Amino acid sequence: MHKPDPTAEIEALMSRLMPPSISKSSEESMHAMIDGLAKNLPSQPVPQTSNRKVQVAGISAAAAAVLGVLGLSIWMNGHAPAGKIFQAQAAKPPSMTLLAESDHIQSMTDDGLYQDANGSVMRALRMNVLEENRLQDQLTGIIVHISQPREEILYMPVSAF
Amino acid sequence: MQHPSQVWKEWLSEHSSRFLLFARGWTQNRADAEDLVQDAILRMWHYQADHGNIPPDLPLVYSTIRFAALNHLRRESRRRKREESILYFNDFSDAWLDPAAEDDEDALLLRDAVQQLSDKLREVVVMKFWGGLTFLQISEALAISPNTAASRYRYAMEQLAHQLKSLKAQRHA
Repeated sequence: MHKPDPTAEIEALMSRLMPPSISKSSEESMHAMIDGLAKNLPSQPVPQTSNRKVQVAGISAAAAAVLGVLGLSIWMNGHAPAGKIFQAQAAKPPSMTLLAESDHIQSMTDDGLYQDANGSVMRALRMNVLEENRLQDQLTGIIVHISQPREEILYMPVSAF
Repeated sequence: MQHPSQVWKEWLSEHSSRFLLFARGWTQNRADAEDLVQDAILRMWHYQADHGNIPPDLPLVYSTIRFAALNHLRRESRRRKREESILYFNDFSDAWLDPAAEDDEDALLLRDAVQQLSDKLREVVVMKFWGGLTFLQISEALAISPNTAASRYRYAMEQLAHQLKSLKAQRHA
């Protein structure tokens, strides 16, 4: 006999419940905190971002893109004098637009249990993450693909065994 | 083009109620939940300083709130053991989910049932339904497989259906 799926019924009921908004005082406190943290940032504005949508690369990605574009243009010119590369690196980076960005967890392994300074038990998870960005130079139209592998260790507190 | 502080404030306006709901599942009251959210935002700010100063992906935020919440629980547990003679009253007017209609009894019963779920099931339900995450994103936040996240959600739905049925039966008894 087919067992009815309760998910739809429960989800319909859950849609009648709403999370309350954060309190005004808490919102003001967080805004003040953000203002204080952001005051030391360069006055140059950054583009608006939103989760999982097209974003503009940060300073490090733009610098890496400059090297990529520069390498490509030098290859196209047929020679690569070291002095010219150094001089170009010191110049202002061209305008780059981030076309796509992704983070993939390529592997995750359990690194065992650790104890922090407070004596709390933590489980370590070692992850190999590949960050990939595609950028386009607005001036030349050249598209650069940057791959940045990195290794991260995530420590998760163990609350139950 | 906007300054980072404005970008973060707008991002926070869009997602703060979700973060608060997730944090509230781990705390006794709203004030502690708001503190957890603020703590997580501060951590995220420093982390994102190496990533273009843009707001982080949602799975990372939920993971950070969870980490802060577990630390908070351990501190609270140790503190309460030291203060065993003091009675702690829950503020029952401090609800973590509001019904669209005040007299929606079924929704209120469901809210109580969701609150009674185990931590593992409740956090998946909150992230999936009100947090707007996919099972893949939930798996990243909790360091579990997407299949495990989906299984926990399905099991939570069955448990809620069963719990709701019992609560309704008690109400009409």
